[in-house]
Amino acid sequence: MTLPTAIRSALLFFAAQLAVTIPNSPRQWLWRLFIKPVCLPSRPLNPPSRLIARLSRKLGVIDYRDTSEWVLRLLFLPSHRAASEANETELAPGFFERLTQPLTSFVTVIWEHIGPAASRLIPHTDYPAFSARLNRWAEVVAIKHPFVQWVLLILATLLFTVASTTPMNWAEQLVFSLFIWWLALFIRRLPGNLPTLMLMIVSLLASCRYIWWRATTTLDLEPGPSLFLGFLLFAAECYTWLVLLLGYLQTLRPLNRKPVALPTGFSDWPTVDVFIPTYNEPLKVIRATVFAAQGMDWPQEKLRIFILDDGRREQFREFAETVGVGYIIRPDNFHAKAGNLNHALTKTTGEFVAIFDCDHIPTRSFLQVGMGWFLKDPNCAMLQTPHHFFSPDPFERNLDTFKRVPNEGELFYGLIQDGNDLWNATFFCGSCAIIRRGPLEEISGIAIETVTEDAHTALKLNRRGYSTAYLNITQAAGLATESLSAHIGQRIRWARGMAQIFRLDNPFLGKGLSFFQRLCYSNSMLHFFSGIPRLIFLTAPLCYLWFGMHIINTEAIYILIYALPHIVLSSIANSRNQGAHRHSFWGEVYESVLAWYITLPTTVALLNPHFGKFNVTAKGGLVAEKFFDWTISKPYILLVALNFLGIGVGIGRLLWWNAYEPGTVLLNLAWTLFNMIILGAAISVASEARQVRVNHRVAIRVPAILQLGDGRALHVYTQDYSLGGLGLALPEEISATELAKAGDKVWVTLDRGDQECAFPARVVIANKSQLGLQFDELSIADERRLVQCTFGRADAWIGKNDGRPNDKPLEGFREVCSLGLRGYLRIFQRIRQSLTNNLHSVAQHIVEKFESPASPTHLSSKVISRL
Amino acid sequence: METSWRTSDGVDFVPFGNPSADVAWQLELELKRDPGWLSQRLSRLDFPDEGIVLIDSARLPSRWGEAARHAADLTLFLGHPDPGSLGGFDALSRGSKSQDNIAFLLNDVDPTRTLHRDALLLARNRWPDTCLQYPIHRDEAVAEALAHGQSIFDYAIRAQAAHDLQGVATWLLNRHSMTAR
Repeated sequence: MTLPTAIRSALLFFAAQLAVTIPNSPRQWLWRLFIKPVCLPSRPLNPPSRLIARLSRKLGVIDYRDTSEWVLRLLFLPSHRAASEANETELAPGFFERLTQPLTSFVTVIWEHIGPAASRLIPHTDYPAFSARLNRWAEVVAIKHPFVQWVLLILATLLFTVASTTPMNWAEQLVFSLFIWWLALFIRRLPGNLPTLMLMIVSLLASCRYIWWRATTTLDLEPGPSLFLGFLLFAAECYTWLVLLLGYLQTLRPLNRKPVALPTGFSDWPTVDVFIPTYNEPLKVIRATVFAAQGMDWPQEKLRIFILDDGRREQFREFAETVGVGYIIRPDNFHAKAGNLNHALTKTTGEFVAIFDCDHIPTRSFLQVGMGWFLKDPNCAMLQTPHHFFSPDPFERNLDTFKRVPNEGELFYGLIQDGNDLWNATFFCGSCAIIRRGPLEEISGIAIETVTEDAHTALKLNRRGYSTAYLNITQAAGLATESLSAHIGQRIRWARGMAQIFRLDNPFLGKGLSFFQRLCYSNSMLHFFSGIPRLIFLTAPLCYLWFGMHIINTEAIYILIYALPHIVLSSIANSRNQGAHRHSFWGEVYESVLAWYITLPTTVALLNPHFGKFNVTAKGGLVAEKFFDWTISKPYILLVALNFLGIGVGIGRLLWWNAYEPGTVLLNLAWTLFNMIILGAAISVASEARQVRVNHRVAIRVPAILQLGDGRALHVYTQDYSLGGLGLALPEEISATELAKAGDKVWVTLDRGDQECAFPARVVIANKSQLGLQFDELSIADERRLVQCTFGRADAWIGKNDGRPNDKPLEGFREVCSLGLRGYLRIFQRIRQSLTNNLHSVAQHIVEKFESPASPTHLSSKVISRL
Repeated sequence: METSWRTSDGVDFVPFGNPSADVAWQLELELKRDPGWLSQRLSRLDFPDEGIVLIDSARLPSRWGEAARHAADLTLFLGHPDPGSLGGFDALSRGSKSQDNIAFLLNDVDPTRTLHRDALLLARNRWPDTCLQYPIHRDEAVAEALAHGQSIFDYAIRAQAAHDLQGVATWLLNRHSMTAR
């Protein structure tokens, strides 16, 4: 039986089950599939097996004999209630979880049945003890027998080369893949760094086999477009393979540097200038940063704070004077932020310079935590700390993943910088860093040749032989970019800057760097060239679906058994290595959103690095209304349309035109489907959610004293804070409504180490055990104290990732799928909405034209309702 | 006549009583003659080893206060967050041979007042080991509890003053167990 016949008979079978009498009629299919009511069985059903019973219970199938119900539930069709909610403009929270619930339950139940059996195949042992034993062996070999270590290394390299280049037929490759997969599943259970390295090696083995096989057996293509596109795809795959390899090297062993204690006598502590550059940000944003900087624990005579105002605003000068900080301006704005900082360097004399973007609020401990390394290591020229954002970035806000899924930047600050640190290749990231003045002046200040002056400055310092350090302790926090367009704008700048450095000061060329420093810098730059490869992957299957071109010369089954191990094992290794900072499959989403936008800037910068100018990242604004950013998502909608048509053509190929190679068609269809999911997720980011609060609230639980108007004082805990107000959690037995009502004047006291600070506030919300307070007009001194008691606390960001679920590759995949689905629903909604709106305005227009003065409202409502 | 009461927590409470002026005078003369009188009396009590005696004494300078101080392993001086009390703390701190058996506690602290906040900060910084980190905050609930004839822990367990007193009690117990060792 050929495949089309099989599909046809399957369709006929389903038609019979659904009572579709005319299988040619799509209308009847839709009717039977979606509208046919579910009949309750008259007598209790006894499903033939426990599995079916459990499955039907989980999926909500009432009559297990009713195929249509199974189809309904498995096709993620929501219950009637959920469906009606989907039609509303506001999507209820948890809707998508319910939508994908059937699939998840299905997989869970199946897994519960086969999981234990599968897990029995993996050897059971005392994993921690096993891992410790491995570690001991490795240490013994490394320390006591360095010669043996070298012999082993050479042997392993030889073996690895043989294993990754030996040609195998499909059965051999399948067995080999299953074996290394099994090995990876075992290693995954072992704790510690050594097993992580082993996982990386196993993953590399699969990837090297794949890329070698691709290079040696699949590129024998027909001359012409197939050849060109085939090599393009292969180049893109080589790029990802290289980035994977370099990524492993970069994060081989994160250094996890710890702070070094300062000497007890203040006399040895150096002088520090704090620079807060600003250009067009509102004063409101910079106030908190200045106040927090003033609260840093450092001898007052050795700490000087400067606002570097490239906007030259009188209001800022006055503010600086009032609060007692320096104010530096310059006659021009040459070289933007870098120029601003360099100008300030000429006006100040501190031995060290701490730099904060004007919205990055430092904690009081920033200098004490960071400065120790400079005193310990006189060669250390720069120390960077992470950038943390207490407001959700556009991804987190629009996808509702704040505090659930690590954001885009976290991989870099959580792992990559720590990995770079091992090789002495930590970047300067423009803010939340300390630089030693001497070395900085030696390289003529902050680099001005590129738009990512920060990374370039670090590169120059490293080239001079100075070391740079990374301390992965969040000591400052700021606002994330507000809108997707601003976010993308910022990434475009980074991408362009990195491409500029790649051209003008390529880390692989020139003097002064170690091999691994070159690798680390190059990989971080290569990362920004991901635009073109990503676009290639998003469109590659269309070559076949649309034009029938074979751009990989092999059978589908080979692609599967070579590519799948490469993908699966790198997922497993990456999930282990970076799961705490990047959930599986989220990289594809982040990359895909940026792909289109960074492609052109990086290419232009590569060709002409001096083209274009610096753009500032806008922050502190507010997305007032929810809207769909059509402009941003246009390229993705185009790609979706192409892919969608591709799927249509693909089905035609499957059934008729290419029915002789169903494997190839199915493989390309599956690939396209995956691309569609990723594109859907990218689109769903473009649906800007509304922001309600002007001041971002930060969740924190610290003790507070609430003093009421009648003289009573209560011991309470804070729930969240912002610069405008405070949320308090009351003890269970105390009712907020009895305690206070909206408008009541209260005092709330927070502590800052030894100091107690009280702030006048008014109750805005009194609800069960919660009290929302809004601060009264605060004096400058009070405002300073408030910042220092909240954002400036040394422990403000310590538990920032508490309670976040761990990464599970399958869960990540499910989440991304659900996002993809959400993207399509959102487009559909927006189209329907704008259609309705247009119809309404047309109707209004008609009504206004023919309106009779007698009963205008009656008529218009009639016309509109008919329309 | 009952001379003491026992609470449900097993604490014996002995009130000072209401002596006439003559009796009080006699007692003061006795204390002048023998400053160790109170210690001797206390040592005569049949008292468990881990027991603690808390004496709420009269303010210094006075015979009563000196007698209590003479008998005590630890003297906790209460003061208001004002210059007068801080001056008193300063004198006591300089006048004491050892800082191990004295501690300072600020009472009735109202953090909305700048003077109180500054006094607290000053006290904590000047006597980091002697001054308790827990001040007792001003709280109407203390007076309300008294008016209701209840302890503050029964009357308003979530009151700030209750929290503070709990902190002081814990501190005292820790201190006691350390010196006992």
